[in-house]
Amino acid sequence: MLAYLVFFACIVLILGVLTLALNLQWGFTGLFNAGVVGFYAIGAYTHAILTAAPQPQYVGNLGLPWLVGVLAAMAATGLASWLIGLITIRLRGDYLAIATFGVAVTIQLVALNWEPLTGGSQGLTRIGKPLAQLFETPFAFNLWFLGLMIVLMATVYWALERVLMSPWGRALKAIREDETAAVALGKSARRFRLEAFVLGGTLMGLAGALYVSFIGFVSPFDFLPIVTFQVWAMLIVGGSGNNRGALLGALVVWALWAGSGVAVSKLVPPSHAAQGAAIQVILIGLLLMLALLFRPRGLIGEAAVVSRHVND
Amino acid sequence: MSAAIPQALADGMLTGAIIALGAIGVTFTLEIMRFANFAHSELLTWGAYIALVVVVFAGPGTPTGPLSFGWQLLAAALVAAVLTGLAAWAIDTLVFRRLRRRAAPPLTMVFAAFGAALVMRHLIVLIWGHQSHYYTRELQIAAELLPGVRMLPDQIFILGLAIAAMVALHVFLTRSRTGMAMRAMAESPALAQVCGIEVDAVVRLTWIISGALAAFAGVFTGLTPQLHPEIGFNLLLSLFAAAILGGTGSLPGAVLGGFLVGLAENLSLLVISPGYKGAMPFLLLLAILLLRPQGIFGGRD
Amino acid sequence: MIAASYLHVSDLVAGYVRGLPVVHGVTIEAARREIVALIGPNGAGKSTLLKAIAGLITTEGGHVRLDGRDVTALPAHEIVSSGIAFVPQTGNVFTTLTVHENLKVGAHVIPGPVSDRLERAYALFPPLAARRALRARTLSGGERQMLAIARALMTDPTLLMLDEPTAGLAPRVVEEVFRQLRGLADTGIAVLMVEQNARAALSVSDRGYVLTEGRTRFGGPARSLLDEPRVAEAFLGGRR
Repeated sequence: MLAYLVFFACIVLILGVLTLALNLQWGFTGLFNAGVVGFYAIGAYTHAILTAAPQPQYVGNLGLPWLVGVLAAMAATGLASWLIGLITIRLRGDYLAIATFGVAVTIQLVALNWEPLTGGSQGLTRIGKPLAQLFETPFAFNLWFLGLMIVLMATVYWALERVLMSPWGRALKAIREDETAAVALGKSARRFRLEAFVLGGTLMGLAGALYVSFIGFVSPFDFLPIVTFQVWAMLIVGGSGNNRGALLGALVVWALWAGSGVAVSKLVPPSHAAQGAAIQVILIGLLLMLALLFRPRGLIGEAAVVSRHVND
Repeated sequence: MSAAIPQALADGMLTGAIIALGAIGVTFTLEIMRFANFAHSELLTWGAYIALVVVVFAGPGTPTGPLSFGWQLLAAALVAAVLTGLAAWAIDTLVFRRLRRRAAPPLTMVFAAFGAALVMRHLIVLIWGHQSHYYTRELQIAAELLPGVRMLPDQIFILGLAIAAMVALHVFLTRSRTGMAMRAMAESPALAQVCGIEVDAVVRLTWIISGALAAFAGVFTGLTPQLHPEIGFNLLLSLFAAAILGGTGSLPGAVLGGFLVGLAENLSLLVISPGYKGAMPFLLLLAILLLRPQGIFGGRD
Repeated sequence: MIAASYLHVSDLVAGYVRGLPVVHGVTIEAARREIVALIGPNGAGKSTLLKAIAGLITTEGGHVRLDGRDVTALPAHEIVSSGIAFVPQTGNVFTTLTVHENLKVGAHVIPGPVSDRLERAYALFPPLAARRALRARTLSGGERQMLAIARALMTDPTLLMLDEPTAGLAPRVVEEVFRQLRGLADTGIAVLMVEQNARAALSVSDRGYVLTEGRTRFGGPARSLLDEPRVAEAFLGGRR
């Protein structure tokens, strides 16, 4: 039981980083990123390719240290975010969503097909974990990883709060509230939005690297659109525009997801596992839509609706 | 390699026709309801499976001529079209319209659509599972239409039927009072209201027609050659690419867009590996959005 | 109360957002065969008033009566059927439809064939006949205004409301539009128009109302409004 809770907590914290990143892009900048899982994947795969133990059939698997993998993942995702942002940020809300969604689908396809690099549908294993050699049992490692995640999460949270209080952050807020005024003040709205997008993307890459270094392997089937949906749900449930809400949302939604998965697997016989999984998704999907219809403001904080949308 | 091009063109026409049928619904929802309905592709899946239910009970019919099915499958498709159209309207009434009334922002609408899509897709998985199903087990022999171009009789029939449906819809939109009301609403709901057009009635009709066309597209997909719960979702990006390429709100645009996307996808298979086929519509979409976001027939003052 | 008033708006309260009215209890009247001008500064609520009468925005108080019949709470399409036609200031033609299709859409609420109405519209506005198969986006400003009015006339309305029908038009075209409106009024229609060009509007109207901040300040025969110094001061361009 305790082992499960430790595992659960680690995942929640990783997803929390994702949600905070999305909150930066959406809640503070108004960018409708419907391809979150794509950025998550870039970070995950970069880390995997650089740190996995070498194997003859793979081009990557360089066996580099964990920290190198994590930093490279952040850099790669940051760069990708910059390129993608350059092209897509000028698009209107719905169209930005479609474009970023397409980006994520394409990335997943690349992960699935480019076997020599990504391992294709088999994925990659023996990925670099932080200080894995010091810990005898999986439980001991997970406990250490939890400690590491708590420190990392606190750092990310604190850093984000500082950044948002800074002149850059205040300018961002001004742009979100009233673009014409901000532009009149001489701030290039587009540049700020791109910077926020890249920063958010970098954090998503970090989350991806942390995820695969926790699990130890990477598979393209971990990066399907439903992950994007889950992260958005976390943001909406928690009330976007609010970092505390984002974290609370991550906890609540993941608890719901994991919990319902456990409940379904207990109630549904293993022969019908696929049906059970379908029931789980249906129930959660319905729950979230009901929440949207009847409690659109989320659990805490700001309305899930940001006032004047710069990209509409 | 160049010998494969005519075949790719033929395959592209077939895929294009199916995408066009789905894109018509997407383009009208984008223009009249002003939102990107990510759940539209699931209407294709529902249409296909509803027809499957009818076929399971009534059978696909003894093969007529070179086709693999009889008139019963067409009847099943009609039943599916009606029910899917009504389902589309029901979903709008229960979910999207409520949000529109509240002037919900695009995020909420898209998220709700995504959620609806998930529920719709997984209901199919719940009832039918992940494995493939077939309307009929009849084997077909491909006909050689031109040197190097082979199509199954089913495929030729579908292409013809799809084109007939598009022509019928075009006539409806340009000749009938209700059709013109739809086109008026697609341009300006406010002015349409000023002219005495009942907005709610037109919205209802738009959903029913969109759902019916999606159902046909789904049945045609399921026929060539099989059904599985992802058939709609796999076309999602293609549908949007086609609608946007043609210019939102334009029927000829959606049709032309559909065929262009279908052709592009099939021609690209000649140069890239099939695993990446799903990325083609996205690349097309990106190109359109960057170069000419109003599409071919879009852009009004 | 004006004898035989056809349109009677009493104490109308309306706005775009519930609880934030723009029109604060306006009372106006219009009789058949007369042109009534609504003038006033920008933001006075003149357009809002017309939209409220047309059923396009919700009224929060007051009544609109047409020939004695209360049409206040009716949905927009029923108001059109009851004989009220509205020509908005902008976006008043379907640019992606042809001239012919625009007119046909205008007759949407009329059951049965509309070919004689179409012929009447073309007879009244010959330039439209010449361009009947062209898309409305190819028309000039004056032609579009013509089409917008022709579209509104397709239902044979008894009350025609226009929001700034001469905005952006050349003076010669403005004259032509006003001449047409006079002709229409003479056939028995009540014409209610919002105009920015107050002097010109009052010259062609029978009566007028001055609106400011959502309320009627003055009302009366057009001639006397033209001569009234307070009106002149505020709206017709300063002291004489």
